[in-house]
Amino acid sequence: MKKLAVAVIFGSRSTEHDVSIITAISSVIKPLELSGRYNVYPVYIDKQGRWFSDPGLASIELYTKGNLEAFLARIKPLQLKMNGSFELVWPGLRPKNVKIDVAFPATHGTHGEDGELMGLLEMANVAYVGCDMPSSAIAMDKALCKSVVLSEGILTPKYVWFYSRDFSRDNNAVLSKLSELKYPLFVKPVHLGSSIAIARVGNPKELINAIEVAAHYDDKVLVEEAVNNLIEVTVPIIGNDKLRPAFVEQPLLKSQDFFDFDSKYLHGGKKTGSGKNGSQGYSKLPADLPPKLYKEAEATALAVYKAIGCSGIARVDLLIDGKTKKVYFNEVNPLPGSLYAHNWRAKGLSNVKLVDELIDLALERNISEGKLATGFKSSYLKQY
Amino acid sequence: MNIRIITSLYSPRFPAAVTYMLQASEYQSAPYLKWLWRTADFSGVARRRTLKRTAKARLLELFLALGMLLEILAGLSLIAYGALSGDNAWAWEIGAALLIAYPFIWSHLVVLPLEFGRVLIVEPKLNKDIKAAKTIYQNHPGVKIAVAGSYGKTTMKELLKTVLSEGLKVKATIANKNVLSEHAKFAKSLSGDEDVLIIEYGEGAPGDVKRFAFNTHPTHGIITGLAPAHLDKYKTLEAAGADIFSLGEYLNGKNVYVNAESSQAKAYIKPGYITYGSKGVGEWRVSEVDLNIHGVSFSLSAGKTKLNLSSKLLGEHQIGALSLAAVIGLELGLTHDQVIAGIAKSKPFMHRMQPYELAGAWVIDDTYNGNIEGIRAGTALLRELPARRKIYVTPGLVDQGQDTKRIHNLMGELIADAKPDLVVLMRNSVTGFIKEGLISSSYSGELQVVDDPLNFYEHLDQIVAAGDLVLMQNDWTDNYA
Amino acid sequence: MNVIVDNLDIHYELKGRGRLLMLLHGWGDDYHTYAGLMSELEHSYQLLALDLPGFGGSEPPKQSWNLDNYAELTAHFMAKLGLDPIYAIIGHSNGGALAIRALATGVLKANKLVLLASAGVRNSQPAKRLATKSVAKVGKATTFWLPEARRQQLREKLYGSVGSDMLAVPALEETFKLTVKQDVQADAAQLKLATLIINANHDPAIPLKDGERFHELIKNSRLEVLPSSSHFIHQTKAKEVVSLIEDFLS
Repeated sequence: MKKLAVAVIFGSRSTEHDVSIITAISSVIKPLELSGRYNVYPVYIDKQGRWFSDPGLASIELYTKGNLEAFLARIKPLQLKMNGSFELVWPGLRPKNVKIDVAFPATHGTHGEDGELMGLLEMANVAYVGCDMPSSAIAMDKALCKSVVLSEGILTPKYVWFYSRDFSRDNNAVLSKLSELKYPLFVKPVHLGSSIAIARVGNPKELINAIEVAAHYDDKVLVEEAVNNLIEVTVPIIGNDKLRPAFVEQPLLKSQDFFDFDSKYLHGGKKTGSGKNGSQGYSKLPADLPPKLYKEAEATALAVYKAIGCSGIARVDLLIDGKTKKVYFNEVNPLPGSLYAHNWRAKGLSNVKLVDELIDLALERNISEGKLATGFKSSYLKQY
Repeated sequence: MNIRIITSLYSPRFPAAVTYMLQASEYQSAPYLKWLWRTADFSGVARRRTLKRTAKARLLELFLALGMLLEILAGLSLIAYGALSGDNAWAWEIGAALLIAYPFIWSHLVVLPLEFGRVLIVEPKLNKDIKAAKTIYQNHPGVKIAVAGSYGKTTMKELLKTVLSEGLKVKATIANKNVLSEHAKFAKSLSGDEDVLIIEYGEGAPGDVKRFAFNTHPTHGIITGLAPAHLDKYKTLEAAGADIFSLGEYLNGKNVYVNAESSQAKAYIKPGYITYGSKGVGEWRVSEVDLNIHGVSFSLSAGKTKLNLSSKLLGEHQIGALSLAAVIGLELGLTHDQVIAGIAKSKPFMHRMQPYELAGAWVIDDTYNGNIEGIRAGTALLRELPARRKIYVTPGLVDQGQDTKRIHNLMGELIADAKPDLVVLMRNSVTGFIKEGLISSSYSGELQVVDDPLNFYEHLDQIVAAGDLVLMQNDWTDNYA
Repeated sequence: MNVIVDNLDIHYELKGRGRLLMLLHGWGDDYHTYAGLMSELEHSYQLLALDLPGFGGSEPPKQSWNLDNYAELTAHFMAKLGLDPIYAIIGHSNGGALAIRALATGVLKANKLVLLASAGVRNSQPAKRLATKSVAKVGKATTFWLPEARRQQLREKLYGSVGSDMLAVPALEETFKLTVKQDVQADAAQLKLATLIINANHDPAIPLKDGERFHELIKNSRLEVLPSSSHFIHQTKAKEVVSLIEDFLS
């Protein structure tokens, strides 16, 4: 059996650049290699947006020991060729080309997870893992995402969004719009992931400071009401047409009001000691919910996945009011950090099987897209 | 011949590679030379394990390096002489020959100091020690239990030690130290007031077991099974059987226990020998067996006496040895409670049917197992235990001589019978034979052949998930790669 | 919590009740350095700890900064939060130098000051500084032909070998040079407020005689020397440091 050429694309110009490196190396490249079914090409996009590919880029020490720049200076930037297919080209006197069968985006946040990379891959007509361009773009805009989900009859906390520039121009107008919301409130930059610049505020002074922070990072800001008696859960899902949820997982927090960047990525890894759980230092797996509520959370997550048009993999975050038993949609992550491999493993899907399935799903979607009519004979040109 | 092979021969690391091979061959000339002749690329020799720089290893490495250096210097001088004096072309040629030949010459010459050392120093001392040991054993008042057989000796020995220690002073030979010279060392370490000595017999060549018996004077003998092993010396299974069962003859058929589950051993059982197995020991019957990932429990009864035993050892095949240890314990005067406590303390040894949890899955580490009977027992357990997904991992067996193909075909069949969902084979010369066995038993699961075993073991957590059961059997050293 | 000050995202923590203490960390560190200290002091004081720009969770400055730039930012940060006046400032290492400078120039005001292994006596180790300097000069002159990546490697090796923490945060190299140049002995001499100076007797980074020098310069000061060979006395000698501070502040 011929091995499939898989390009794992990670890094990129994003505040979650470093998180992406961990996802790619520990949860994607390693299991792909172990599967034995693929020739794996690590494709690293640095913070300036330059593309590189070299087997050495698959070693985590390169990034942790701080000699990345020297390494990149030695290897030549990669070139891409889109000739009805997606090819990696290593330039030089004798350029080397590899035609990629499946691309595996492992980027988080901007210029990657937000649909940009997917658009590029779509244009190149190559199969790729995970959500497609439109669903990624919707998922990465928390405000847009909420309006899509709301229109499908799914609950979400009451919210207001506005452009950052409108706030700096006339914050009174924005604040009066916000006055219809009840404290405590959450302030979020609309596009950023990994809890960066998210704040929970209890009064107008804190609100203004928090909006300034969010606006510092993003051109759109979302302010929403907090859910009372909060139980936060998250549901990783894979599938194109037939969906398969992992466990409904309940992140447990210590002394923090919400999942911030520190507890999610920095402290979580340390506390577990192995680092292999990465982001998920403390969580209840499966969530400690009454069976009916558990089912409802799962069903809501699946409905969100469909409503947004996700495929391949995504993770749906939900907020549950423990008293009223109402399930609210919070947000969608088109590429869950480290693929949430710990959850899938607990559910019975090993890391290797998980990436195998994701590759299969990518190929399946690529084939079914090929079946759609993409054009019909026209006589426009002749008439011209 | 590719360039890597050549550079590995002339690399400055070559002496270290050769020393490593000597060490891994336990400084035995014959296996070392065989390995040497088989190896083309020396750069990969020490990939999986590294050289332990003991005094002996350092001395040999120095000997090699100096020898090679001298030869290179000699070669260069001859070439220089040939070039300068013009008409002495022979010098030039010999010099070049010396330069080219040095890795070949010194990797062979290194055997000489080893052999001299053996004949002049090691062996005379050994003979003296062995004679002294004979007297010590002869005069020792304790019960002396000899454990012989082609497999399962160490498990039996440790099990007996665990159980008997509940009420007696017991001393047993350690690890795989089971030949004449080690028995002699063991004798030296005795204080004389031990109630029980347990001595393992590591047979290797015809006459070994007989010699061990005459040297250690056992009062009891246990034969754990017979299977093709060490056939390079024994040639036939019959010869091995005759040697192992000479223990029974030495004891005149008294206090001789034989594993009834070893089909090959059956032919040697004589009246008066007591058989043991998963059904029981002599009069004692086994019932109410329960197997799971945490161990095995069962009842042992004779007449109106009944003991409920449970052990952390895995697999039905352990019941025979557990029962025997219990019965010997009772015979040597232990109380029921002592026997029950002793059996409860028994647990798997490192890498021998040792279960551990990994990423929500159960892994049974049986990597020290190296024979087909162990494979049979392990695969039987894999078949018995429930799991969401079953994974079987092995590189195959070693030291099977002419039987290699047959044994590995059989191994493939045994694996197929356990119905794993995934079989992972470490690629080597026997991989094809195992595959044939799998195919002939119409194995329908997934098969993966791995080229980098270290990488595989290191990332096992990525391969398993909750509810998986993994059995890993026999991992050979690169000695056989 | 985060707040935007001078167009920089500043990460900070505000907790506890009582008179306000501001905590300033050292170079290459962040306010978590005070975690142990804070969990003790929060019972009787309100604590304000921030990550200085370029450290911890705060955005790096857009240009190279010296102590005055840092002092100014701290003042603007205070103004933004609109808290009560500062009762005392606690500064460790370079945070101590920053506190001295900010108080002497009147950018920050406080009633009391605690200096923990404070930096700011910049010429007390002439031999080491000379070594660093000459290595840097010679290095620059002899490696100009190398590719930048290789030079960076060399620089890391060289500075590492002479014990400088300049490259702990490579992006702040220039800022480090500026702050390291800034000697605050003259500033210290102007200070009138009650000051507690705590130093370790075998601190490998800040010699005890720097502490003695500050004690000499700051009239209303008290010097406490703890037996320790760590620069992070507030962590290694947490109990002693906490009780000295509590005693001094009450």
